[in-house]
Amino acid sequence: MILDMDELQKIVDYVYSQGVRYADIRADNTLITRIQVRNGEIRVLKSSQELGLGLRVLVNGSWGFTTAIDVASLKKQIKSVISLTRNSAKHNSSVTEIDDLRSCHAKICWPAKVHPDKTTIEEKIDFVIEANNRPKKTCPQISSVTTSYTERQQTRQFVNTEKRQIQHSHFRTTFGVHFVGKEQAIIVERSCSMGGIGGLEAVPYDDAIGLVEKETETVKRLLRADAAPSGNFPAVLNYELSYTLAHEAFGHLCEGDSVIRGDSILEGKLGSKVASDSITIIDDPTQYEPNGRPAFGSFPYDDEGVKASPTVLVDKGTLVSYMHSRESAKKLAQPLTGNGRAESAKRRPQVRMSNTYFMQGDATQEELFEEVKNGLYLVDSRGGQTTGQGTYHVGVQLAYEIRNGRIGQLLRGTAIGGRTLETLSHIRLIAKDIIFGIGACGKGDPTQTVFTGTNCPEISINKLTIGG
Amino acid sequence: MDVSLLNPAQQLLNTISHVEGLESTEVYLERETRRVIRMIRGEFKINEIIQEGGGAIRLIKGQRVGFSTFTEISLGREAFKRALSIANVSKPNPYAAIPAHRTVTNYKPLFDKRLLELTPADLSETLLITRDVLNAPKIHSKNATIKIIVHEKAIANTNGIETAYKSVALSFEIECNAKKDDISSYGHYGIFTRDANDIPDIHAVASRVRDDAILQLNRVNVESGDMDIILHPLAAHELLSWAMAPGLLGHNILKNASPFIGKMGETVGPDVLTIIDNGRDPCSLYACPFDDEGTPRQNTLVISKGILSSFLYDETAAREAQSKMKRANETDYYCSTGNSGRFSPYDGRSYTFPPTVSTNELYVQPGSASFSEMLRGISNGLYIIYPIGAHSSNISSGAFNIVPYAGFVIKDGELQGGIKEAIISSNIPDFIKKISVVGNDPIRLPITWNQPVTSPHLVLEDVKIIGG
Repeated sequence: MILDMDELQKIVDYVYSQGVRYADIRADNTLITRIQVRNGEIRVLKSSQELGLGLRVLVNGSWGFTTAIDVASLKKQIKSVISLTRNSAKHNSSVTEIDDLRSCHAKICWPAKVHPDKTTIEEKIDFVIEANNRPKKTCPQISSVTTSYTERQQTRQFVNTEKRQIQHSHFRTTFGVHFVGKEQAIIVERSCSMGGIGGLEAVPYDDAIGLVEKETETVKRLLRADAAPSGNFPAVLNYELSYTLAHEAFGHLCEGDSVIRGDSILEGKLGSKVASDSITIIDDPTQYEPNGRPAFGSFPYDDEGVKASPTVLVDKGTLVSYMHSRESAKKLAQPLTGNGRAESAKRRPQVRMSNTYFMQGDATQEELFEEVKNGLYLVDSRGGQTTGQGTYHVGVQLAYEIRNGRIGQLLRGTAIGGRTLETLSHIRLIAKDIIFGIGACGKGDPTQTVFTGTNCPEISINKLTIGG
Repeated sequence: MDVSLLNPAQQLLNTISHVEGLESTEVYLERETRRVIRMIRGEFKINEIIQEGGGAIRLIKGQRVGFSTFTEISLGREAFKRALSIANVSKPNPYAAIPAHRTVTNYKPLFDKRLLELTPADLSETLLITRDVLNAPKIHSKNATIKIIVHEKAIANTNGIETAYKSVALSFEIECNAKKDDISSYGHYGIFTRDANDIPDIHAVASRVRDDAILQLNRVNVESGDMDIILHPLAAHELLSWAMAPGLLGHNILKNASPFIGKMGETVGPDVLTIIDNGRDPCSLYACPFDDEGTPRQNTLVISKGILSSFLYDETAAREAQSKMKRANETDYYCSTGNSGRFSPYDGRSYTFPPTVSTNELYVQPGSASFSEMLRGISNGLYIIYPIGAHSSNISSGAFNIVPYAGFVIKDGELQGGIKEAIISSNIPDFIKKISVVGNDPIRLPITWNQPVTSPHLVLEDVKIIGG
């Protein structure tokens, strides 16, 4: 259900007439199909429509936010949220401000090259079951396989008191597999995924089946692998872990809302050296994959109606910018970056990343291994977490020994952790190729999950704390 | 108690359940209203009135399950059509079931109207006290959030379930950072209560948060080795929720993804450890007399004096277990333990997720030791308040790696200073065997992701620590 933009504009204009400094309304409409098969049996088969509606106001220097299930209910809450905000703003000694933007009308559609409706739901179910059945045919030690397919068609609408009216429609299609392997006392897990912004072209059948078959072999080998060692070692991080370091360990510290909350060790460090000269870190919501599709974390406008643009966070080791919402950009006197994102219209925009990555260097993978000489090659993330104080933790799915500059035997998963800035100071080489992948990131209360691109080159680090 | 969702649920069920061939149909409706004031860096910057909710249709036709969700009751019929078309193309699941009516007995609901009567001024007063206490040298950021949450849900199905429940709660959380030169540290307090009598002395808890953060500014190196640790209830929540709770859920047992498989009736922990799935406590985070498919909740003894006593099931998992799992006697019967939940680990509870097995609340039975007694008993160890990384645990093996974010080094029974850098690497089966003392001070936390756990402080002996 797409709402009438002029109707939304009328509501925003009414809200403005109640004496607020600023207001915006967001609406979204999402159609989701999800198929999940576990051990040959369908566990989830869901087709749903989600509608969201949220109103945000800036009153006496404080934000008010309310959501409702329909326009009529939203209208009823206008006065309450303004009153609540006005009353609590009395206790403040400073006011939140934003700079004005010009009016704008944009209607953007990122179409699916192969529309999801081109394939029937029965065919999709058969595909997910087929992918699920493959591993056990060749690897009896696999005790459980879960395969899942998700397609989303979403339209997001934005209207504000500056007469900015933006509508964006797009598709996201993904496929994932999770294995549990068991042999005597050894239990291993392996997860991987693929997909992108787009329709069925983002999950080609052969590629998905190929991924399952390849990773079945990995699980077989993992069951015979030794545990990874613990301690401090040099290491090469593959693209997904390199992304997790750039995004999780560092990127969150550059989010303007964390900075103004006093919850980032990078507060007050603009212009300071935070990494070695070889490091440049960028957040780019306008990034495209080589196949011509927008990268998984891309968007044309953020959820505050600001046009998306790339932001260099670290330039040759120097912190040059944070990422911003309209509020944090004004507070910290920096240009807008278009990073105000919300999971849905039912959630408040926060400062969020898009596609955050280390800029490519010029090393080959062989050169990374040679530089490390003896250490570990760490592959794929099990999720990461960071704190404003710059402590991070990243789970690692697989490890390989590096001996005399060459890749050695496979080891079971581990974790890395430590202090972000110290780890960045130990980065030595950056590979010349970016590998594209799909990811998601959670933040806030309640947790909001947004899509991100895990697009990064591999890197070598000469000292990393590894917990086996 | 005014529960207004039951009638719409019944009416919707009546309009959709007459389709030929349907074995069972279920309507689930949910609505939540939250009044929230967020203090950011001492200023009352965000005020929210959130109204959200929706519903789900689940039906079974020829052993095939269809599931769909909707946001407005008027869209319920469309969701039913989607669910029906999904069921028509799905594969049979012989264990799929929508439960029959069972009577809830002797449940004493708690709806403390005093919480509902708290005005915005009352909520602001709590934040003002917090702000005053945190206005102290070295305290860099003063953040706090207070919420009043009203939650309603209703379930009606064609097997005789017609039930509804409404609850109210207060959640309060303080986060602050202390800072000295380039070192910063974190203080945290959180509580979730349904009883106005349980609202703590705000001045006292804020003072503790402030003092904790300041003391951690003195960072102490941690040497690698085995040492005793104290887990704060927040740390216990993180570890037990992510690394242990999934291994107790019936669907994970059935997919061989649990370190507890084959250990029923065996000793898995010390005799000081008793854990109950606390389904009947009207004060718990998701308190309700029935689970998310209408089955009465119960108190299930999961670990009794160190002995593994029960896994947790919903209706479908119980039927599958009955068919596939060994039984000691022919007369043994697997049945739902009232543990159906609509949730996802990262997003929390929502009608948008199909029902699956979930803990109601894992409750670690308190012992008799006070925190000061625990502290006095440790000559060289760590006190971990908040670890990061538990969410990347291997649920199949229970293996985890965590990095202490907030916590202290203990020397000779006293908190010496903050933890500079450390990783703890272990697995749940080994880890819980190391519990030697259980505290007398359980705290119910306002944490809405993954499985809810309420625990007192715990002491563990000889835990392997990797120093930085």
